[in-house]
Amino acid sequence: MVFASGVFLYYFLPLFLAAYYLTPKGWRNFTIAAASYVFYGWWRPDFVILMWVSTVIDYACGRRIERGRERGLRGKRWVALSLIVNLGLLGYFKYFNFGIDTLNQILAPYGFVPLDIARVVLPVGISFYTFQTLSYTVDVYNGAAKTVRNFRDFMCYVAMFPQLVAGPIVRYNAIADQLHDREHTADKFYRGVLCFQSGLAKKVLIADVLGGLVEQAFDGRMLGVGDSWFASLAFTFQLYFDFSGYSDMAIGLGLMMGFRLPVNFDRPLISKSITELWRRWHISLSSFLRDYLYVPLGGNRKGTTRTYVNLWLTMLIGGLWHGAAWTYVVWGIWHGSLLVIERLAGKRSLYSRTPAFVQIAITLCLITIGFTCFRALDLQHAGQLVGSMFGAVDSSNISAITVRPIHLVVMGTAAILVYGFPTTQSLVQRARLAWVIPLQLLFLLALIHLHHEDQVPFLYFQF
Amino acid sequence: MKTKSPSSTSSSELGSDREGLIALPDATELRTSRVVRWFVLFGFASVTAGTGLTDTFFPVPRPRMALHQELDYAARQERAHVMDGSAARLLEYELRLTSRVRNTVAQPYSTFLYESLREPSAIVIRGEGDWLFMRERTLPPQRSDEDLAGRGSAAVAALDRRVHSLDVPMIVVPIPRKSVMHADKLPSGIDSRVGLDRVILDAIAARGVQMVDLLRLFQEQAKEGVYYPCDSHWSAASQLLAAEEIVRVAGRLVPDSERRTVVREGDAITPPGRLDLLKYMDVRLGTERLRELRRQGLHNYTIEMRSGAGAKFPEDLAVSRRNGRIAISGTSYSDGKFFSSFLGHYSQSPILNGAMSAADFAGQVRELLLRRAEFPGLELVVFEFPVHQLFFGRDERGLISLPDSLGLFMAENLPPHLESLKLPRGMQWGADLALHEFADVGGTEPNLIAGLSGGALFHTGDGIAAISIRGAARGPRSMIEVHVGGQRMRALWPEGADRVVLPLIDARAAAHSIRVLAHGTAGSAIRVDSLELVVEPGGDRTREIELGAPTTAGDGWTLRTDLADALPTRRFAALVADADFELPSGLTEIALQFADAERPSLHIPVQACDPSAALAIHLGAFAGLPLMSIELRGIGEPSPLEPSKRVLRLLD
Repeated sequence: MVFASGVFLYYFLPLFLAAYYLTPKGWRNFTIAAASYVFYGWWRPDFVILMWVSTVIDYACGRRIERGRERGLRGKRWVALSLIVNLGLLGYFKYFNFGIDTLNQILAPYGFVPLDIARVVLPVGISFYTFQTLSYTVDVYNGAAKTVRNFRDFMCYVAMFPQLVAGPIVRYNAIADQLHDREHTADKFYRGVLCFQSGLAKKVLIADVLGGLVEQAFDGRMLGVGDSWFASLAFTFQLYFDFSGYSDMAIGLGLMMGFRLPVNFDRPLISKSITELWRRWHISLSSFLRDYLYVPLGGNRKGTTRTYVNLWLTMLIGGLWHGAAWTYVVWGIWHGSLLVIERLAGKRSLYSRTPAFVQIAITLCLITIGFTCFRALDLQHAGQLVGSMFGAVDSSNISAITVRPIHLVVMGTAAILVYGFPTTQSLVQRARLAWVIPLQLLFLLALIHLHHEDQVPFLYFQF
Repeated sequence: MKTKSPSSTSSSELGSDREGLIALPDATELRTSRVVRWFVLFGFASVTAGTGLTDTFFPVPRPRMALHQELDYAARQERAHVMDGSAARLLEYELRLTSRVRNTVAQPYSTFLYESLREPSAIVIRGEGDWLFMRERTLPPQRSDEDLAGRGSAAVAALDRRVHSLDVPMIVVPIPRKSVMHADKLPSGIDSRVGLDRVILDAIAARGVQMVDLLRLFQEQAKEGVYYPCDSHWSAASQLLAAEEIVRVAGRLVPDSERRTVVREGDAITPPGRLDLLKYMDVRLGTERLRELRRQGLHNYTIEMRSGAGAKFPEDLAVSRRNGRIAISGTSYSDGKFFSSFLGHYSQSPILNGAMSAADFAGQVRELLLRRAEFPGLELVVFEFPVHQLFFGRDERGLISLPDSLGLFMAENLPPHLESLKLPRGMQWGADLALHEFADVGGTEPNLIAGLSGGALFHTGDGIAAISIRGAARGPRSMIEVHVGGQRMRALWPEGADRVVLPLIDARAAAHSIRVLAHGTAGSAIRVDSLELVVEPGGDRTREIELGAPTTAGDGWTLRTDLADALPTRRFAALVADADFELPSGLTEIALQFADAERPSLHIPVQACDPSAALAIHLGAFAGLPLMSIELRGIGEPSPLEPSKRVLRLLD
């Protein structure tokens, strides 16, 4: 199920909220878990079993680690089991097809018959919930978190539908207390509604409208210099508003259930460097990668060269986490390399002395180039598009894109929102009338627009 | 004054606490009044739960569907399954279809978007000025021109053959797309592949279908816009032009001096009904705006009596007569009422208007022939279809799906002439069904009846070869599917029928594998008594042609015969060789020469074909010309063959 659909907005959500508030407090987590299974299994009920496997194993591993600790054991084998199961599931479902395709490509020139193996279907949101359950076991193992009190709470933590399929990635110790003790107030619910409305408006009125333009521009055609920059920038905005809109909706739904979920975006497109970008973009992922990958690899504790290698490697794996394709790998490498270059240049570089707006513009260009690779159909297409951004294009093959007035209006609005407005969360905190009332109109407009348009799935579902 | 950099942030701007969780202010810091808060909460509950309740208890009726939509919908319902999510998607689709709230808000919103931002709905492309184009008709599937033309022309040829075999003369009128005729009005970046329609029309002609080339006619002779800008129909001027050409090609043009009627030119104002694309987009414009759109400089034409105003229009030329001699059957691009009067004017014959808007490809021809007994005077069927209807889509298994109406038509109309075809190897029976027994075929998975591996039958793909299945079906919906060349044709087994004959339609001449399957709704059962491959010639005449002994030619062999007297052929003539016919080794080409010196010989390349394969070659555009010589070429050494093994049959 997707948030921006009639079945969610008009049936699932009202029914769920009614059921949730009618349930006795002690069973509310169970209601969330049950509703989340319906939400998750709506399109593929069998994938719920997979999530269950992950849930049961990590719950059991956590308990075993705790019991072992009582007997003075560290429980290494249980954390290893959790790692093997979670990364195994993720590896199989997400990277099996990619591995076979790559192997076939490598072996084909040597005359090997391509392996013809049935394609594996990727379960939605597997990257998010495996990271969540994994973080639980690792935190328990490291002593950073206590084990969960009961299985009901753990089911609720893993399956919680607001952030289940596209984040933010919620680490167990961040909401452990809230799982068994959280406050439900009308004010919290109200702010949750505002956050949800804001996210839906961002997704439907900006991201989806730009989606039409982006789809057309990234269909494999050759673009001119202007069109390729415009289309790539449109995709950057689309992705930002789509993903941050989803996060806003998740946070809003969380508030309606009394949860305070992590903030995931902090105006990333005003970053003055790539280092700053990663403090602002998909914060829950970047902090996860930092704590569970970069730091265990040695972080910056093992010398300068090793720091660069660790940084680069973390971003490469981060790229691969987004999807099983070489374009994501290249995107990760691009960001890893830029982070390394920024570190090499240091804080007193010539770049850091340029005006802030220049730094923002340059960073936006770099982000946009990266996202061009991210969105491209394949590596060749990525090369073609990036080439055309810098004029390396065969002018006889150029095909223009159709930019309609609505695209210009939405791009302009998106730019104003990015550069002229604070984050949704801070607007929700303030909840000024001058924002709340227009938001109601935008929410209504988004619902009407949804009725008008066909449903467009969230981009981050595929990751 | 020192300003704050836009990038500078504080934790309050981020809106999170130290753990990264969203931070909420204390209740004392609330900046909105309780009234606003409850207004928002009440509003949120009203629009979400309210919409759900309204749509559940006060739904609107499901919109009407065309035949192919009904079939697709029924198939979707049959296949709907909880485990693969198809049931959930169907439910969402049904909720959308019957949503009262959607029905109420969509139209004003569409109008607002269209008028304020010039934004059309997703189904329409807005071009220069007020020109509108249906998106799916403008953008062909991502397949080559040759593939699209091959499949489309084969389907048209198969239909043409079957209709003619039923003694119903038919003339085919492919309608060029609006986005081709008015490509200059498309917005930049929209590629409608303007050359594709030409390729498709040429492919249809090459298969020997009697066709009216409106593309060339419009390109060469249209004096004003071929289509209305905001509509999917031809302008009146184009209808007039097309009607004259169709009647001329059909050989029924009555000279001007002998006509009782004349054409009168009217105002250059678009008729009010000719703004259908606005309707499809759910856009309703004000009177002034509509008036502006209607002043697009396209003239109206009417047919009147030559003898002057007030003279009674002849009864026999009034539109949509049951005693019509010429039937328009198809999708009404021409806008039925006016077009039939134009056809009546040029032919001075009564017209039966069987065209229907948005009809399925062969749906109207099927309907016409099902009710043929009601139209005893019928002499000619004008089968008009828009070229985009040949852009066959793919089903959920990735197979290209021929229109269901075509399959239904084929199953309901058995050809009178059939010749058995002996194959080098028999079809392999599938394990799903037993012979001579009714088998339950209800369910989502098709049951394999039989299959033939590739290489055993080389045919031209235009329906000259067919699968004939004897047996019976019972239950609500028993379907037969034939898969050839990555393509699927399906047909409902007609109630009471003891046989169905489904043509093999393929994009090109090839020896692809064939699969025959059965499926249906719960309670459907099929009994198969026999299954054979047959040839479906145009007539019942059979002549044998003995080829010469194999000789060496280049690095291969050739089998040739030069006919002493040119052998006259009829339309739909076909050359057939079955398993008794032998070749020295792999066949690579079939070359046929005809008596018409101005026309080049027909060369059919052959690939991946067994030496003992059966051949079924329709002569295409050459059928009807006297045949002069036949030559089969292959690779490898020539080997002696008995004369009786070198005999081809000419069926027509």
